[in-house]
Amino acid sequence: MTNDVNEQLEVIPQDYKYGFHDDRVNSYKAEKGLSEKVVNVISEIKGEPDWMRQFRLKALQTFYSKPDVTWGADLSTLNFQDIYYYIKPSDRSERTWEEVPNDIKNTFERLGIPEAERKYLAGVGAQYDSEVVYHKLKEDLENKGVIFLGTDQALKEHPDLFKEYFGKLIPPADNKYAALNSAVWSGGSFIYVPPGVHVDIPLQAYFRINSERMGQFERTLIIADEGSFVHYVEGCTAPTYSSESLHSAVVEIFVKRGGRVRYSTIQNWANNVYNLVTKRALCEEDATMEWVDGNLGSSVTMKYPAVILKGRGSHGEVLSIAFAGKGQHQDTGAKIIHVAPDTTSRIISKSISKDGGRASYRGLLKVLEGAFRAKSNVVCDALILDDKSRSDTYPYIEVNEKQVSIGHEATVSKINDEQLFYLMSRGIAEGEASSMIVNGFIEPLVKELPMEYAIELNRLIQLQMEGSVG
Amino acid sequence: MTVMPSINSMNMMKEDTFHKFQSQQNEPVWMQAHRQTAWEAANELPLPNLKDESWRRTDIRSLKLEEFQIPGNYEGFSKLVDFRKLEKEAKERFELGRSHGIFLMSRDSLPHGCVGCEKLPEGVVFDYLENVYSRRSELLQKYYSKAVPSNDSKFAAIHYAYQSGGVVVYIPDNTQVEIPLNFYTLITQSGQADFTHVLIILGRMSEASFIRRTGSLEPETPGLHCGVVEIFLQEGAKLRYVDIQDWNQKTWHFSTQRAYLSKDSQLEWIAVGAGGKIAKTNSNTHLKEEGSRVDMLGLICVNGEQHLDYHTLQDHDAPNAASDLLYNCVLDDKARTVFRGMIRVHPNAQKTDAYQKNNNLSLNSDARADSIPGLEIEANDVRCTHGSTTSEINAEEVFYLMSRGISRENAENLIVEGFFETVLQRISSEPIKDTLRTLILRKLGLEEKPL
Amino acid sequence: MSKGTLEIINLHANVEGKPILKGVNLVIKPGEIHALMGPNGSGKSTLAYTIIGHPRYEITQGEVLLDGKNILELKPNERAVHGLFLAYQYPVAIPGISVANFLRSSVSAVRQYGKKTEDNSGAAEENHLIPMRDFRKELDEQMKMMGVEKSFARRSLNDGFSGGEKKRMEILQMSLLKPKYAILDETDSGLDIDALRTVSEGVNRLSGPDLGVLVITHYQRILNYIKPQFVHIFMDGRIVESGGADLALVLEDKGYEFIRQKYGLEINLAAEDKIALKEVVS
Repeated sequence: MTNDVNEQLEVIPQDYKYGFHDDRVNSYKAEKGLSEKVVNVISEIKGEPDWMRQFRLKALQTFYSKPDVTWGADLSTLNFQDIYYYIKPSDRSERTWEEVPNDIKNTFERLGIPEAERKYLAGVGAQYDSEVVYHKLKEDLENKGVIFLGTDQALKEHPDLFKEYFGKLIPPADNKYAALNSAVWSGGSFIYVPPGVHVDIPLQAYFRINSERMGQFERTLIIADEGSFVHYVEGCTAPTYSSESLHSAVVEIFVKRGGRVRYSTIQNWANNVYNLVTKRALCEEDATMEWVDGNLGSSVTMKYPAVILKGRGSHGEVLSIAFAGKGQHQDTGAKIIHVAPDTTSRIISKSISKDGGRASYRGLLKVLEGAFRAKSNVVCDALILDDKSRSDTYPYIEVNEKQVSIGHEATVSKINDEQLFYLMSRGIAEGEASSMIVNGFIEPLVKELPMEYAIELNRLIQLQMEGSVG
Repeated sequence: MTVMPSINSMNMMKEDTFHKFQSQQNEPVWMQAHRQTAWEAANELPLPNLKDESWRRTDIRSLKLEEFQIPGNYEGFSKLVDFRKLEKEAKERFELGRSHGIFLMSRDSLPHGCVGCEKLPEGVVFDYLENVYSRRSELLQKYYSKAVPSNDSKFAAIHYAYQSGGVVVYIPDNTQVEIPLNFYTLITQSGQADFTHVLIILGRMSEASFIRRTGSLEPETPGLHCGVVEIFLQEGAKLRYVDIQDWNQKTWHFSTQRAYLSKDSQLEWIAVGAGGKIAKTNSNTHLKEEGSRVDMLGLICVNGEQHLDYHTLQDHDAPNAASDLLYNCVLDDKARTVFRGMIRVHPNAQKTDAYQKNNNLSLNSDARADSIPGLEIEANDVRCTHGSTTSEINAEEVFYLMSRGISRENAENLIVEGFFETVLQRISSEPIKDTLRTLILRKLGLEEKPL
Repeated sequence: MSKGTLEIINLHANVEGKPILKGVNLVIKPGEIHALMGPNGSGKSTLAYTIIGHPRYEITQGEVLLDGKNILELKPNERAVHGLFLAYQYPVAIPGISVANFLRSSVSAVRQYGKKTEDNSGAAEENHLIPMRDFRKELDEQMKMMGVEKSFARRSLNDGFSGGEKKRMEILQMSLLKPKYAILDETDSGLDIDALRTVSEGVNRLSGPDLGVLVITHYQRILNYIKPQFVHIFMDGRIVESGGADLALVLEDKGYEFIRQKYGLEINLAAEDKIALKEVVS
């Protein structure tokens, strides 16, 4: 086993695509569109406690009362009434792979999920449309008290722990899409890591939208107790339909004193998925939160993973890669709030736009009064590969404390001609040389991913780059 | 001031006031019509509020326009004040004895008039707008309000409705004016509103330096400035434009400034922000033709409860143009600055070279600096970079200087000076550099160099 | 046209509209080592870049033939496939691309590994790479021979390399690509004596009856290690004098000023070019 990404690339089949779907009879499909009735039905099917039903109904009213989002990407073609809010593919979440219905199993097998589990992972969750169909955690971790469940299941099995944290970091009123998610949420992962426990290999969740005009609203809640560590990885794909789908997740993460959470995403939705996600982490004293966020798919993504550095000495990081191809707008970035003294943060964003795509970095870096000795560094680099594409950078920096050190840098450029020429004069054709330079451009972030995800990301970039330069 | 000419005490947002004002102006029909249009826009457009993205960080809810007096003809004014004393004070304030150049005081400032205008080369215009309505009517109609239309914003509309006391600079083709042209505006009375307009047109291959400076006679009298600056550089022209905003800390300042650059023209645009209570300055450079270049330099120094908000735009609308921006802000006490800059590169603007940098040095925990440097790039063969830093005085630097025998206070002062010096060094004129250095030092309370 | 020969015929080239090459004629046969010496700014590097096909250089007249075929219409990568190699004076750094990945791609392309049919459109280049195992073995051998640490394979290409490391990397590439014609552009500049020896030994190891070499240099120093059969003096965009190995010694003795006066060339020599080269070398 070597660490060389390109070596690993050889073993991946060339036709690595996710555009297929399977025709299956779902066990329940709610009527199209959003209404109080749909919300009630979801809550009823799930057999939830009344507080959750009330929480959902109140969130729905919040959603209705909030104005449409007018900044960022263009969402004017998104029709909330043309979407299915709940599709239940199967009646239960299985603990062994064999029990998962065959067609769903086939889909995930084509995506390489059980293989990945065997090779690299400490636990796997798989969500198919609205529900988690499979969840499995390695036994030794279970024995150490680690909880890794579908979020619905966690509500049933750990109601007190659940209620203590759920919606506390991202209340429904936070933004319009958080309100929507709070009303119709279904699925997602629930993770609790007890004090001092290190989950050394990643836990993974795989999200798949299979149905047309589907809205997936998973809800993930991670609590890393004092001095613990966990790395959670999510991947997402969807078939290519002619009509739009919507993915609007809410992810809340609590990192207790001295804990560390790393959350990696390879977002590769089909090019007709609106991906509007709210992700936020709260760091207590000396805690560390790291978001590694790769956005390649979707038609529109609006996602700005946030870290609130509430505890003294805590550290937040957002490493983000966006690739905007034809018809895509990746409006992504980061949000870091320094609340306590001696907090540090780092944001590195790399974007590539191509074939008329638009990549925007939108970030907020805020230092509150009293967060003395806060240090932050933001670097945004963008590559524009042709004259049809666009790149924007909108960093917001608000500093309310003098004893700080804040730096921000951003650069937009095309592929460097001299580098291209150097590679070509060594026999490498222009297309491949460009591809190599693009991979080199994002390499500092790719190397932060587990090997198999790094390979996947490089592979995806290579597919996006194909035929780009003639 | 207790006795005022009637118009000065009328509410500027009332129809009667505008009509009375208009009737007192002796101006051509086109200008009357333009005022009328602007007045209508001023009534239609709402005052900006915190919900507008570009006003989210500047709260002007406490602004009461009706509390300010529009410029009048000051009949009887000279009876009330000692005109000579005022003149002496104004001259001292603007260091007329020490500075270099040709001077014009805003017509609404007292005293007014031009010092040295007779030295100007043939064909150069440096005069009050009102004085050239008939003489250069064609020129004015071609350029006036063409960079900033009257419906641009509520403040621009009010400006054009009451525009008065402004200046026009016209340098004919192939003419170089070496001596700087100075234009001073002074708010002399409590509650005075100032609507001076600045219009600068440089002909082909011409060169000039223009210094615009504002101030208040008294430190505690409220004032309002609602201004527009329009700059047009024709092919190959070179302008150095210095804008010194040095009102007292009770003055509201709203200024919309726009420059249009033709082929191979160059603009060195220096913005100094020292005064003002709440100030909003929009400075846009439109690089409309190939080979043009702008350097936008900002020296901003605030204290007390000052709130200065700068929006800048480097708009690249032609290939092979360059822009370079550097705004350094020093903040003390509870002061606040907002820097929001944008580099916009249109699809046709290949080979653009654009840079933007905002540095903030905070001397007090209660101060607040917002920095929003932006990029919108629609061409690929470009080099666009921006950066922003915010920090306090570097303790290592202080330590180093102290270990060389310099007191802590002096060491810190030296570092603050050095922070501005990086901007000053980019200014290509020595006398202007010196003038600005003196001004900044005074604002920092460091009249004489330490050491 | 003779087989296996590099011919430069009356080559004229402009940079940003300004003529730099003003009629260069030079023939290099397999197995020959030529040295091209000239003062700073005489156009030596322009000649190297023009031959390899840098887009900045506009050819206004003349031909460059390889095996009798004009290569001036070919892209730089196609020229490399035809056996041309330029060791750069200032190799470009590319952060994020590892030396190993780069070399594997380059070697696979130049050797046309696994390529069945030539697609003229150039669009559908298949990603045929030498198997990692074979490549590693070869790379390790060559790196050992060039005295390059194994860890270099993982480093970003030329990124943060010292001057000597960059030059070594260039010769390492040459040894892997096995060109028919190698142009060494000021390979000696910025090298200390030990690095110069290693690099020169690398070149000498590769030279033989099938390799033609053009050593471009300012100073005579590298010619103590790489022995040319032919020496050409390059000034004002063309070769003004050719001779055997002894010509370099004449130049070392008398300096470029002597040549300038001899030919009445109206070019300004940099101060460093006016002093006798002997002083510089010692």
